[in-house]
Amino acid sequence: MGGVSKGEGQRRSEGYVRSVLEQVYREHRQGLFTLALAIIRCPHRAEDAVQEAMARLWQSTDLPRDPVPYVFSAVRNAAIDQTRRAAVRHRLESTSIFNGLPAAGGPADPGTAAITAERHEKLRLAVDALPQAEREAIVMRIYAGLKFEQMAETLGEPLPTVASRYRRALEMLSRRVRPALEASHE
Amino acid sequence: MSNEHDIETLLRQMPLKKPSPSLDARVTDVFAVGAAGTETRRANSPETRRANSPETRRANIRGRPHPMRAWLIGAVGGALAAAAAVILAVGLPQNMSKVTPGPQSGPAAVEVARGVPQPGPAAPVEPVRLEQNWSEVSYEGLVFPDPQTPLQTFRRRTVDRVQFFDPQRNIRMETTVPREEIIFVKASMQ
Repeated sequence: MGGVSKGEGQRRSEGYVRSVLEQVYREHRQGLFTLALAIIRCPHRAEDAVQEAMARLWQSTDLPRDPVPYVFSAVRNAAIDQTRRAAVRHRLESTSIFNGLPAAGGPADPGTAAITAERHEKLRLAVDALPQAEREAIVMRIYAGLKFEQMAETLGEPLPTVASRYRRALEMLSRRVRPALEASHE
Repeated sequence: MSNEHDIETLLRQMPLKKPSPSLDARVTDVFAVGAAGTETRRANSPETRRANSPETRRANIRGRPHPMRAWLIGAVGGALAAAAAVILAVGLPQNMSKVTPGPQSGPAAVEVARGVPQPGPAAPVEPVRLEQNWSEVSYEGLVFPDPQTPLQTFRRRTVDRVQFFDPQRNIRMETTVPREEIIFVKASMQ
């Protein structure tokens, strides 16, 4: 992994690290938070994890060429650390990554809105019920917009493993919400 | 149309929980404190090493807000207001060591002291240390541990607040220590 090392121009390199981290945070704020939330299941602790990860990263001495997986990996590790430390997982296990409110700009027709709401609710339950690894794959791919290469780098796993995990997660979701989807197509 | 594609489309439509606006401020704090740490790394005095320690950094980084006791919020607010008034009245002279405090009992007694910590070799602008002590005593009536010796009970609440500013390195540190004690004074029987 090619890095930007802090060498002779230390001040410039530190400024570079900071600006890169700020940019990654700005562009992936929602994805970073959602990934932490998918692991911790507690919004407050998810924010703690994001903050802690950024503090850790700021002290890092170099950045890889693609810093995005690096930042996601740090947030993921911080979230896992938080879960281990606080042992809040069981107490807060019901906290979803999804908002309970319907998405803005939804269908105006009450019948369609009801079907959409039902599909969303089924999908929310299905995502929440996924094993953590599969849920993380969905979050990284769909909500953080990461490529499979970036996901593999974030997780430190081979690309085929990550890709097949994502497909498996989609299949699991598909099995669980298929009836609702079929109903909506009729 | 494949089911997987439908699921992906549906997933993208799902409304996500949003992080609170305070997360941005907290992350900005991380970078701001980190930038201050960059400056301090250039000087190697014990003072700057201490200021750049992980403990100090953690103390400077804003955390999730925690609930406080109502009286403590009032106490700190009162202390701040009183301290601001004293600072404005005195104008923070450079060599001020102590501003006369008010009586120890009463609505608010504030002491302000401004000391100058030993500056590091690369610190042309002096850091500022500000101490504030707030105390309040309230009478809580008589108690009778035995019939012959009644005791007057006073409750004393104290808040010690220390702030440290280093304008050059953009460091700000603050500690607030609340204390509460109950004092018994023997009452005379006449």
